[in-house]
Amino acid sequence: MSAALAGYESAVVPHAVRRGLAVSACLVVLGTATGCGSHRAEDVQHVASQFNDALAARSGSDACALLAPPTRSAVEESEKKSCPAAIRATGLAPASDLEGVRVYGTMAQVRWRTDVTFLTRYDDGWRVLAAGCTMPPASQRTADSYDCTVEAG
Amino acid sequence: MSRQSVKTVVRDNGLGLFFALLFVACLVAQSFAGWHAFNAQQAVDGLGQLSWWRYVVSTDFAVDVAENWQSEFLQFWVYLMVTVWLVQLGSPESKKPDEIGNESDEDQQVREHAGPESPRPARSGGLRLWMYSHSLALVMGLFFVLSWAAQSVAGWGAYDEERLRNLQDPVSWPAYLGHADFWSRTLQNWQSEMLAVGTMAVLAVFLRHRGSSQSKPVGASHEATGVDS
Repeated sequence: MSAALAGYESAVVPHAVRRGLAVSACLVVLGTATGCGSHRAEDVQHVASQFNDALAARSGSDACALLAPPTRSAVEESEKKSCPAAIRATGLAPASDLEGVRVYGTMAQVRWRTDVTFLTRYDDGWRVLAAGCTMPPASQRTADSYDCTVEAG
Repeated sequence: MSRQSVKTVVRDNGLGLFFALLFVACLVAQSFAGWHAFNAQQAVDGLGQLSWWRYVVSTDFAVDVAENWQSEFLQFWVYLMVTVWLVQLGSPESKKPDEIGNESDEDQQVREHAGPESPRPARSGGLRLWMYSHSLALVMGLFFVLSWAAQSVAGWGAYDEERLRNLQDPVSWPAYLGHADFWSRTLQNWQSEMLAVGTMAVLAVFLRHRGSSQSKPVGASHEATGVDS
């Protein structure tokens, strides 16, 4: 329960409002307070920014270290190269201008002005599940899911 | 407290204690079963595993618990409300047709008809008596509303987690309230509760369970209404 309300943490929402939402969520869902607070959104944002920095520096190995295992495998398979070379070959560009972070349980979404990044949580921290995601035009989609430059297979 | 008095307390509160223990045991067992199922699906998708505690405080576990709680409380609330006005001839769960309605003060042992053993609010009047006269339904109704609200919040979180997993945008809580996932979880529980309580009310007309307070005596006629063992 805690993740539901507390998970809605947006960088564009004033801090006081976010804190109020998180505190309210913790009170409403007694006994499930674990995970409440803005630190989860900060962790997500930090990993997403690190991933962007790696792309900007064209450091394929640093970017690959932040990919979720199924995404890493999918990138290697699609490009028929090792991950560092494969991710450079995809042409994935670093995102810019953070618009918001949303966290729901083991999943998170980071919205940038340019595109969207999806992350998932492992024991050792958040990892990028999909990046370079944009919503295709309505005429070209059958579901309301994003098309991503890198994503799990 | 002597051993004898402990035995007496346990015997006198056997039903409550039995169901309290069974409730806790089932809830813990559900948490382990749900935890394994969740992690199995995560493994299939190549995603991270949750610790048992992380799962217990997750929206996935919360919605599975809350959706069942709300329907149980709804069932008892509905049953309390409709058994005032509806009868089932021959059912031990039902009143007789001439007792339909709220019944007289004398029948309900309130105000001047209250006895020395009656609860104090039964001797009062006005709002206090009204509140006490409907206290069971009020509390059951409150529990239903709270657990249904909890289901909506937890279900929203779990649903949006699933949407992110599918690379979709999350939806707002008001939007989730109109979504099929919320109503599917809600109605699948409501229909099963209505089936169970309706079945009990009707089958108890013709079938018996010797010694149970929920059954008529084995030799009671099928027409005998409101007769518990």
